Amino acid sequence: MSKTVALGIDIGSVTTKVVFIDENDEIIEGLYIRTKGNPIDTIKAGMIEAYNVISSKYGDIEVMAVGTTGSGRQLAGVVVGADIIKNEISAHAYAAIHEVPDVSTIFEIGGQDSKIIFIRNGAVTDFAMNTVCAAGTGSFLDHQAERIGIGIEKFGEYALRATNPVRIAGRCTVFAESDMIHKQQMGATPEDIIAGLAESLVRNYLNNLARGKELLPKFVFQGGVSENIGIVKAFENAVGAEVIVPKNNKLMGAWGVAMLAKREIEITGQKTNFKGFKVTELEHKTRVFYCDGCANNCEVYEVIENGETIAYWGDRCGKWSNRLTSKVRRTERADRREEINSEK
Amino acid sequence: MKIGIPRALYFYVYYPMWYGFFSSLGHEMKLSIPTNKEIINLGVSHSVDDICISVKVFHGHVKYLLNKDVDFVFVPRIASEEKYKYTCPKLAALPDLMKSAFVSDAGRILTATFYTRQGDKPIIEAFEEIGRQLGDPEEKVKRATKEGIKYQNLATKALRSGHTFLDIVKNIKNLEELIKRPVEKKRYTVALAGFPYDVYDTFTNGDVISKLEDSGVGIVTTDMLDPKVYKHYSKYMIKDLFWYQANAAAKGGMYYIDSPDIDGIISISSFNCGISSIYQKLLDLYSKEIGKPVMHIIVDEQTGDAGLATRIEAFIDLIRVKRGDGLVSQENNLHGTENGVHVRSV
Repeated sequence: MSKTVALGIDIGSVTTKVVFIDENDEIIEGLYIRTKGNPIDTIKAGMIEAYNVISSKYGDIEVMAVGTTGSGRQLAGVVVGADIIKNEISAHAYAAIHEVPDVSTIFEIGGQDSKIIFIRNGAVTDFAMNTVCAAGTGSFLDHQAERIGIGIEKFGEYALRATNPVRIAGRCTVFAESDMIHKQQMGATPEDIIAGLAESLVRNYLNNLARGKELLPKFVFQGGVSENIGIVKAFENAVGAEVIVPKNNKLMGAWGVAMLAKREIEITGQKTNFKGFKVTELEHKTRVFYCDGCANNCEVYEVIENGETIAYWGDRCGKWSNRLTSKVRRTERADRREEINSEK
Repeated sequence: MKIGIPRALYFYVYYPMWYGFFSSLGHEMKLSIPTNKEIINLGVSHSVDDICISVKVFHGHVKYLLNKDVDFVFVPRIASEEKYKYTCPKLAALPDLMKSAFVSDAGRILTATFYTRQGDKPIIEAFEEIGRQLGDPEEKVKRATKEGIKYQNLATKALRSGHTFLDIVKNIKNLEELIKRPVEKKRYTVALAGFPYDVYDTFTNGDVISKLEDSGVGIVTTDMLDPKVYKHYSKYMIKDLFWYQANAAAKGGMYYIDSPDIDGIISISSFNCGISSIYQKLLDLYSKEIGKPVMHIIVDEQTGDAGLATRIEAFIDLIRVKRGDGLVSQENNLHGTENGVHVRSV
């Protein structure tokens, strides 16, 4: 008998997460890969890698549901054939509530954006995402690690060794960087600078996103930056309570959307849209062009699968996106759903 | 005469009045096209850089019209809309801003000061001034003014019956019919709080209205409310704000926060607007007491849609869960603007 799994894909700005879950919603294989320049190739590589691991463990596998999330969720959704395409806030919250049912506050810091999600009684009641800039997110830490010449994975332990964290301006990465260079030239140790950076990042995050909001325990911290034990400590100092880093901290979005996709299929009783692992062999291309239909000159994105266009987006008026072939599938789905509804 | 009317700022409040007035006088009106990239580019390149996107966009609309063959571009100075309540200084200085931005065309800016405290007298005086500039006979101007006020009252009636201002612009010729037309009730209703020109400029705000409506969410706006219904919220604010539209957004928003049939409130404002930051804070404080979700959307020149789509989807998820409808079993959102949320009992 083949193993039944659900697939969740989270295409973030910096990393892509691919997760397979079993019938008990447990992660049987999860991958965390850099998105680099080409999200489609990254997804395919991740799917093949995960497939090989799982099939060697369980033999045959059957994918019953697929969900995508993250900033590249639409692209991934049409490429693999997703059953649900969910925004990352809902996906992250779903996984966090699954893992820590009485969670009240979720901190999530990823590569290019950061969010805070407020939960009461197991439901999202409020959320905020970073607004104008990427200060204090993973990309900035990455950049600083490179500049200082200390691997990003060592940042945490360096921060913990600090005796006197220096104060770094956390409002803006440009100021933060010049502040850090200034402190380093004055003779501050790398440990103190890195700890100072962690503190400023947390301060900036809380000022930006949690301003005026009630921060209640339990706190869950997830996303790539939660790997950094220095930031976790800085969060604990700032909120004065324990901050839980769940065991799948980096995979929460993908895990959440895999579970949501599974629920979707379970509830509707439909067959998955998943195109099968053969998608990894299909050729996918994307193209951007400027529509000249009106003065808006929208940037229209086109996804081409084996020479056939499967999706358009980016147009404001729907001139292109309305003609996409996957629209046929969507309409079919909607029709089927209405049938189900009328049967009830 | 051919009169250009910029589709920006107070267009989204007083267009019916202007329409009634100018058409009664027999002048041809040319509306600028709805904001698009070209208009924004025109606006940004002709305005000082520290003002809000809404005023920049207004520059674009005026420039667009000045480039067309219109005799005048109508830029009224709306200084006050209620006793002791004023408009933002940039709006009160709008004709001057336009004249200095487009110096060579300054003579083609048609303006008059609307200092509307109470009653119609200031409106009549302002229209008399316009009539003099256009060289229309006094009698005709008087009649036209009445016509303008009539249209404005009809528009107000249409708003009160739940139609958006965009519907009013579309149906300006048969407002009476529009008033009778029922508004479709959807399972969820989200209230949009904000200045009419931020809420209704669908290009600058990333078309929040369509995004919500395509997801099966009905919308109401703060300008649909009769100020009488939210009068008592002054007490919560200790005293009224100085600005008329900020009062409407703040108190209207609070009214919706208290309304049981409203699922959530989204405020829309432009990035540089100091006045907005005050009413948004008030809404934050009030929603915390009542426990209804409030989200702020702050727009600027960006055209990227992903961040906005994520926030709106997440907000809809939030109100769905609040109503006990769960996160799954909804039509997939394959491309931003089409987010058909199907609701079914599970």
